[in-house]
Parts: sequence; structure tokens; C-alpha cells
Amino acid sequence: MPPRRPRTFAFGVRLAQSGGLVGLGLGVAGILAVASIAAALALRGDPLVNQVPSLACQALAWGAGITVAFGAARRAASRDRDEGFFALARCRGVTPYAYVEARVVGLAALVAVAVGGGTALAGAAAALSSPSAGVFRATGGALAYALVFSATISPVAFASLAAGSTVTGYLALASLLVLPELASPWTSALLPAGWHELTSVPAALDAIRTGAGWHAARALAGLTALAAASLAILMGRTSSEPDP
Amino acid sequence: MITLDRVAARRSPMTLSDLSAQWGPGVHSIVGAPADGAALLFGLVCGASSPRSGQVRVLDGSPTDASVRRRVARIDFDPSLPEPLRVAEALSLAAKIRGDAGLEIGGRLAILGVETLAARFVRSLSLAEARAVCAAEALTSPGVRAIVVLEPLVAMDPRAARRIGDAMRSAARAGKCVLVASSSLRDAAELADDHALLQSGRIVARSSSIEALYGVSGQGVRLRVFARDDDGARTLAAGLAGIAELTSLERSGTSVRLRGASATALAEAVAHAAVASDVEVIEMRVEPIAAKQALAAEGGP
Repeated sequence: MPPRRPRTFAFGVRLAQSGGLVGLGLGVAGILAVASIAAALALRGDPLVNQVPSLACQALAWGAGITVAFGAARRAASRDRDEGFFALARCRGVTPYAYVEARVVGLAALVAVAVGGGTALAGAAAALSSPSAGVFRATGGALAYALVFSATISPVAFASLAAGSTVTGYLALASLLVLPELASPWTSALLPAGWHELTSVPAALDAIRTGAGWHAARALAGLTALAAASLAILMGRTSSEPDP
Repeated sequence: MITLDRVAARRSPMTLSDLSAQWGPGVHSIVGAPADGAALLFGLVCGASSPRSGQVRVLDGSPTDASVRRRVARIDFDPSLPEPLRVAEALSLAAKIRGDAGLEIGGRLAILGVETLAARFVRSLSLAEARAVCAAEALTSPGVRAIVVLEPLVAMDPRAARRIGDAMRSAARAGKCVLVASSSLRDAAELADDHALLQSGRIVARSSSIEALYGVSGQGVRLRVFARDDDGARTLAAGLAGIAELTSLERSGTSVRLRGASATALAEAVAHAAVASDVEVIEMRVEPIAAKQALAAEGGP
């Protein structure tokens, strides 16, 4: 049997769970999930129930998911180095790249559980309340939104927040997520007609949720590029860390 | 398991030059002062440092390869344990990284008698306790095939120090390669089956008998003897003055430094002087003489 590489998934998930803000985010996710279930049950027979999974996934993503990502990624690089987590991993064969991968995948998994889990519960409640093709379609789109949100926000949060101060990290994250959305009325004019999904992360995620053919494909490509650029920044930073 | 082929490396202030050696399963010691380069040698074996020339092979692979590094454990004076975790959590996390499933934490720590540390936070451990935890992790990990230990009996929890020799021999019987670096011939003799004398970055002698290493360098040997107090050291130095085997003698605080051609002869002289003057000797350790110092002492360049 060929020798195995170090296993880092559990390590990444364990590190993603540390910090008060992460706990707060998970708590908010629980509250929002319960509220979504209650709303779905209250809207039994009402056509508005179709909207519950979509609204739930957006509230979970931008309320709970972003809090979890912010809490886990804030000054993560210096914390890992100072507290000995980086040395623990490196001394047991984890390469700098595998370390970045562990941190990013661990956070993405945690955000996916918080956002995707709550969305799945909301969708299930809506389907139980008023089973229809519209509800199933909305739930599928909402789950795709949750998963892509998790995969995108994790590397972006680490690239923005892991190094440097909390304030500069927050500003960097806001400039990536909020400013493009605010500027989208103007930036969309610069793009070919109908390419609005490339103006901001929220717009791209909406295109994936609605699952509209080329729009979703372009949105996915844009988010993949953003995640890849964030990973490249992280890899560059981590590879320059001295070996403990 | 560990092969060095004409390796040269440098990390200030240590230098290794033209180093060739091979170690298989068993407990092996490298005897030398810190400046002789044992820490750098361990850095090469663990993949933390790279050689300038020559080749280092560990477990049939490059020590920088992640799959090799996972199977090599290093115990030095900077234990790699995360401070916010409890000991049990830290060991559990380390086991997950190494791919060691289903190990009972208490049993792992019990091998060195430090199972009571399991519930303690890492940040509350003393250096000696943290080193004991790291040693227990290394010695009980089924995935680890090579273990390098810097000064296993220095700054080590007393409970662990009593058991680490047996634990290392047990690991060696299980086919693991345990490499120990020590500046104390006594520690090396107590722990290892064979010994290599490292001087100024070169292995100048190898033997299964520690006695055979005394004086082999031709540069003589320096012995440092620790008495219980200043008065004891002064009395011991007075008792040693005039002994024919000594080429130099100096006292500093509670320790006395002797130099001569043979460590055995020096140790015998110390024993005679200690008995004659009724001085309690706490420890004796050989401090190999660097080539430059030896040359300078002999009037060389």
C-alpha cells in the first residue's frame, strides 16, 4: 500500500469551529432555520411558500454564513502560528498547500452545514407544507446557492481576513462583497447585455439559485475565478511561512 | 531507514560537512555538543532543512515528502502542541493528521506515566511536561516509523524520564528507528544500542560501545563535572590538580572542566578525587572539543 499523505479534513473543521463569532453564527443559523420552518408551516397552501427556501438560504448565507466565515478567518494565519496549530500540522507532514486546503475546506464544510443544513430544513418544511414542483425547484436552487456560497466565501474570507488587522480584513472583504453590488447599476452597463450576474458575488449566486442556463454557467465561472485567485493569494502567503 | 550520503548543510551557527551514515531499526545515539550540529542533522532528517549537497533518504523517500514526513516524529525543545487545546484534544488532533485512528489517549500517555496530563491545557504545561506529551505521541503513533529525540533526558518530566528508555527500546523492537542526540555520554549509553560521535559537523567515530568513543578523535576530550555547590566544585578542582592525565583544568561556579586525552582516564581521576575529598558529583558529561579549539590549544592556526 503506498504511504498516505497526512489527513487534514478533520484538522480544518476543528480549527474552523474555534472562536466566539463562529458559535454566534451557528446560533444564528439555528434560529433562522427554525424561523424558516415556522414560516413554511404557517404558509401551508399559500403560493408564497415557494419563496421560503430561497429567502431562507439568502438569510442564512448573509446572516449566519458570513458571520461564521468572518469569525473563523479573522487573523487566522497569525493565530495558527502563535497558538501552535501551524507547527502541529507542519511537524506531522502537512505541506503549506495542504494546510491552506485544510483551512479552506474545513471552513467551507462548516459554512455548508450552517447554510445548507438550514436551507435543507426550510425546503423540507416547505415541501411537507405544500408539496409542489415549484417548491422542489426552489429548494434545489436554494441548496445550490448555499453550497456555492460556502465554496466561494471560504477562500475569499481567508484571503481577506487571515493576515493583517481585523479592520483592514473587514474592509477588504466588504470591498469584494458589498461594493460591487452597490456599484452594479453602473458596472452592468459595462458588460454585454444580460451579463448582470458578473457584477457581484450576490448577483452571481442569485443566477445560480435561479439556474438560468448560460447565466448560471457564467456566474459559476466568475465565482470559481474569484475563489481560485483567493487560493493563490493564500498559497503565496503560506508558502513563505518558515518551517517550524 | 535513515541514510545520509556525503551530506553538507549549514544553518548558523551549525555546519555539517561530508556526513555519511545509515541507521536502521533500533535506538541509535549521536553524541555531541549542540554546536556540533545534531539539531541541524535532525532538521535534515525531518525535512525542515535542506542539504547544500549530498543526499538524505528517510523511509525510502525524501524527508521533505509529505507522506514521509507524516511518519517521522521529532521531539525537541519547542514542542509542537497547540496552546488553546487540552492535551487529550491536541493528541486527538495529531492522531487525525497522522491517520492514527482509534487510539486511547490515556493509554498513549501512560506509556511514559504522564496520563494525568490528559485533561490539562497545553498552555499550562511546563516544558518538561510538554516534551513528555510529545514523546508519548511520537512513541505510540503506529504510523510513525522514525523518531528523532533531542536530549531525551534533559528538560523531560521525571515520570517520563524514568520510562522513556524502555519506551524507545519497545519502539525499536517494533521496527522503528529511534535517533537520539545527546551531549551526555551517560545518557547516550543508557538509552542507545550504538553511538556516533559528532564533532564539528562530522561523524568522527561510530561504535556500539560508548567506551570506544572516548579519545578517538585525537583532539582529546573535555569532561564537565557538576558538583552540588561552589565549595564542592572548588574542593574537587583542588583534588584534581596535579593529576597526570589532565592537560587543563578550570572551575566555573558549581562545575569543573577537565581536558585530557582519554575520557575514561578523566572519569577515573574524577571518581578518585571525589571519593578522596568527599565531594558529591551530580553529573559528568563529555563535551567534545571542536577542531578549531583543538588546533588553537595545540598552537595551530
